[in-house]
Amino acid sequence: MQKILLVEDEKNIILGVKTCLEVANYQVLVVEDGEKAIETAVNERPDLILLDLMLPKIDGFTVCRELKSKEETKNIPIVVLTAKVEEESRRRAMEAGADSYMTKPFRPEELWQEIKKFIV
Amino acid sequence: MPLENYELIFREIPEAVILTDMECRILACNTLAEELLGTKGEDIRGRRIQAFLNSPPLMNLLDEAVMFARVPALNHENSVIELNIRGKRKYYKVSMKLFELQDPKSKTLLFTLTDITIIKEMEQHKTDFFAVASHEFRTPLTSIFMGVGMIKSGQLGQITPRGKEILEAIESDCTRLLQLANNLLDLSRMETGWISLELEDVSVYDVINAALATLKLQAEHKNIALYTKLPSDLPLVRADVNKIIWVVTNLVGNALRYTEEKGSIIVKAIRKGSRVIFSVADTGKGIPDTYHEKIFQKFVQIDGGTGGAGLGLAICKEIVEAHGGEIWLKSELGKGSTFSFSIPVGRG
Repeated sequence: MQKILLVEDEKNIILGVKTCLEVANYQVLVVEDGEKAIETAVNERPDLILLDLMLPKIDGFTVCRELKSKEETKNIPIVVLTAKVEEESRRRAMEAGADSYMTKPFRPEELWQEIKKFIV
Repeated sequence: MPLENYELIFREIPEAVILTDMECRILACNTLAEELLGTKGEDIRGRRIQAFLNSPPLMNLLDEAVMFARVPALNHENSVIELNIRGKRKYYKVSMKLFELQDPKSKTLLFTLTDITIIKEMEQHKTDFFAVASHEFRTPLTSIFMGVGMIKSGQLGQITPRGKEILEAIESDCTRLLQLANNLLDLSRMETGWISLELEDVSVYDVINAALATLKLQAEHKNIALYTKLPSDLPLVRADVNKIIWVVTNLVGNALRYTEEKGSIIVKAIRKGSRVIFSVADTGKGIPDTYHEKIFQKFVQIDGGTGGAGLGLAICKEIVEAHGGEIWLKSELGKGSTFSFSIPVGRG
């Protein structure tokens, strides 16, 4: 079973996204701040990371940069899930090494489709 | 009134007023202008204005005025200049006038700078607010879309047909909320000149086809004939393709909402001189005369309408005008409405 790390601090979104992923047979790990995101990614080596940008402690851009600079996590695809629709944020996230950028809100099918681009 | 009083009035006008000759040498300026130039108490008559104001856009305007002895066309964009006044960023609106002095007889340039910093700041607050509001809408909408989508898929347990209907209604209303949030954001950005157009030469056929592709199904669903009438020799237009597609989509979307079953919608485009005129004509119930002017304003809704927020047409107008075009409506009650807009032809 493939493992997805969901980094998100909104309880209701966690519920929806987690359900959506579990139904599609993914194992889901959830952390709610940037610090735990880095720690968990290093220890658990998920197959994909879904990353919110506005997070407690360390923001998503920094998390992204950190993970992409570490040997053990640099190959894990990162899909940013964010309410920031500004072009500037997208550019910054891609520069920080994100593999894809999805703006909220999205529907279950859209999320599945995006994930399938990176893991089978 | 004695002449001295006029001089006093000139000095105290609550705007910066500067008078120069046709070589931009200062002839006179009032108290506020001296403050702005940072020359209070100095005699700066005869010195060139460039020595005191560091603003290339303003200098371009002045150069143009004195070179062609004609006031340049001022618009919302080129007439607002940014100055750094004692470390603070301030915005001024420039007005100009050329006229002949009596004694000695010579041409003069008079220009005023009106401090509009507070208006600029308010515009910025508004844009910031919409950005925050749009963001705050997106977060709860995500959990609603995800939750409804998951339940609707049946993967969490069986649902009844009525249950499914309700979920679909929730989804469609959430889509409406999302559109509202998007529109508010777009509109506020456009008003503050945030959205710059990416102009290129674009095929009218491509624009119309792209817009209609997303709406054909809706038309079929409602049993409305949606077709185009396009001459085969239309020139390219100079446009931001995505924004023009947005305008056409919005106009046709409105037509679909207000046209009854078995009605028809025709999308046309014709060349008229250096412009291409797009039009969307429907056989809906028409729009009363009283709305023809104000329908392009924000938050205007027609009584008995279908409950949009009244932003779509305001955005259409912003987009079309940013292209240097115009948008208008012709409508007759009971017969239908035709929305038209013009866009300059391409350069190619």
